[in-house]
Amino acid sequence: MVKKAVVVALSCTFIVGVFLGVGSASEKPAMPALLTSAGQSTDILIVNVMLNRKLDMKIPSVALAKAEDLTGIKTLIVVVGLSNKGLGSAGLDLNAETARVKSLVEYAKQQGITVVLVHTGGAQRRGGGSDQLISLVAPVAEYYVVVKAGNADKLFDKLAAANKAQLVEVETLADAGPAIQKLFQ
Amino acid sequence: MRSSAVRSWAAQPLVIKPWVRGLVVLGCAVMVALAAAWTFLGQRALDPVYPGEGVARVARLSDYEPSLKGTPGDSEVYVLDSGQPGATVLVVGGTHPDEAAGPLTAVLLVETARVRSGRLLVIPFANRSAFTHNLPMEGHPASFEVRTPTGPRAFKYGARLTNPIDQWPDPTVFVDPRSRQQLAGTEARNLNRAYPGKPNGTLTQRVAYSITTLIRRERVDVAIDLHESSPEYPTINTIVAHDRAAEMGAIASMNLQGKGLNIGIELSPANLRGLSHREWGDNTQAFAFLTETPNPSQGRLRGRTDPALIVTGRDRMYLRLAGSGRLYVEFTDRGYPVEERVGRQVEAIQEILGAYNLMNPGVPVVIGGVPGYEDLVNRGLGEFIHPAELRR
Repeated sequence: MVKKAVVVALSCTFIVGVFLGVGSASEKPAMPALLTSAGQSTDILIVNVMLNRKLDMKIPSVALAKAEDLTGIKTLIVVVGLSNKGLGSAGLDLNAETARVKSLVEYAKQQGITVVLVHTGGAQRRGGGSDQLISLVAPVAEYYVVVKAGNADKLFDKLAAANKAQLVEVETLADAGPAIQKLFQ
Repeated sequence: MRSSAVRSWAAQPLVIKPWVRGLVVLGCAVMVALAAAWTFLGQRALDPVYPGEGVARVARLSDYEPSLKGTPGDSEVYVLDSGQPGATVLVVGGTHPDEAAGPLTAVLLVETARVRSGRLLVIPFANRSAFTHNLPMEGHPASFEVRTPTGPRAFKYGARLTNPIDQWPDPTVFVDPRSRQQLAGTEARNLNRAYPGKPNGTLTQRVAYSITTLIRRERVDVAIDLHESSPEYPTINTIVAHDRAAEMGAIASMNLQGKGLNIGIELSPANLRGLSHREWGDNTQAFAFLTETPNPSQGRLRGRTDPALIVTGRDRMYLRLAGSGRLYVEFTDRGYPVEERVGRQVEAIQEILGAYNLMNPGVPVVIGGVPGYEDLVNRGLGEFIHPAELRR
């Protein structure tokens, strides 16, 4: 009788655990992945170099990715940070970039693609339009990888708590690449 | 009796003959003119550069654009050749002579570098004419001094633009001859709006053309234009890279940040014409870069402007503005001393070349002998450049 109760209790715990797990945390990042930018700053260039040249992760980089670029993709890495110069060079303004990013991350969510928010630009890529783009990506991202200098006001801590995301705060830019790589392991 | 004599003497008008008066006025005018001419002509002489053992030969810009020969636009090109196969690098200082870390870094390279493979070409005073004047209305000093073991070594603090004596008048609107881009008329004298240049153009356009020709003829693989900017200017502490050089620039920036030097990367805007990083990249085979370090002495918000500001980079007004959100760099009471700015330039050059070597392992370029950031900050620039000549 006691044995039966233990089995039932364990089974219930397992079932509840599984459902809770599905409800609160998405799958771990998996390959194939795609790297994109929200804000067209040059931070994507450095993240690209770190992930591909240094860590050989073979993740394609499409700064202006659209929904059709997500075919077959399991993880979308979004490097957030506004650069007006970058927008200008891409022939965009903040409204157009916001619309592109919004439709991209919403599509990723619909497709069950894991979204990783990356912020490496420090204080220079905070405030104004950068924060606007962060607030767009944060609710759909399961993981945030953030360089400490850009989180002095603990914005990413607050967003991670509100959106039940996992926050990885790293000391320096050089630590960001290995932190992203670790998410895939 | 006595007081009436004095009164009568005082009442006497002092009579000076007109020709004497004229002679005195003329003499004063000549003295003032001579003093002004002395200062004026003194500005025309370039600062001495003492080529180090690494320098194989000295060429001139007129070797690449003969019309510059004998003009204020002609300038030295120092060739440092390892004699070993490898890439060729061009470093350009003094595009804007009021951005002191540029020419100082170039001088440091000429006087200390030992190229171990490949070639290094250095132009310390790219816009030579712009070194022959300055902006007194801005309170800019004519020169500043770097302390060396034998005493202070003086360097000219020139202006951003070609001397109007050498190129005048300015057009109302400067129209770029190729793109038809329109800029303020004074920009016609800005070397960094004149690329790729014109062989039959203005002095500034011919200087630009000579540098573009040099890059082509010498088969330069990497070309780096050294600049500075004011703390309130957004393009600062950065490497600006042409599209083809973007990945190389990103590697350099990543490695610099790994060393604790916050030097970012910006892409060269495709629609802003005439700039070195854009036109060298578009019109030659070179991977083109421009570097920017912070220089409070050229900023609009600076306080007292004197030679010390250029050297120490300490400024009370910028210190007050720190934390206001109006500056694009951190500003502390340490300021931005010239050693730090030159150190950042040197490290940026070395990391750009490191990135080039990583991506082109067959033809590396290796430059040794040049002090790095830590050495410069700890020991001072004057410890490494040629010491000041002792006055006899």
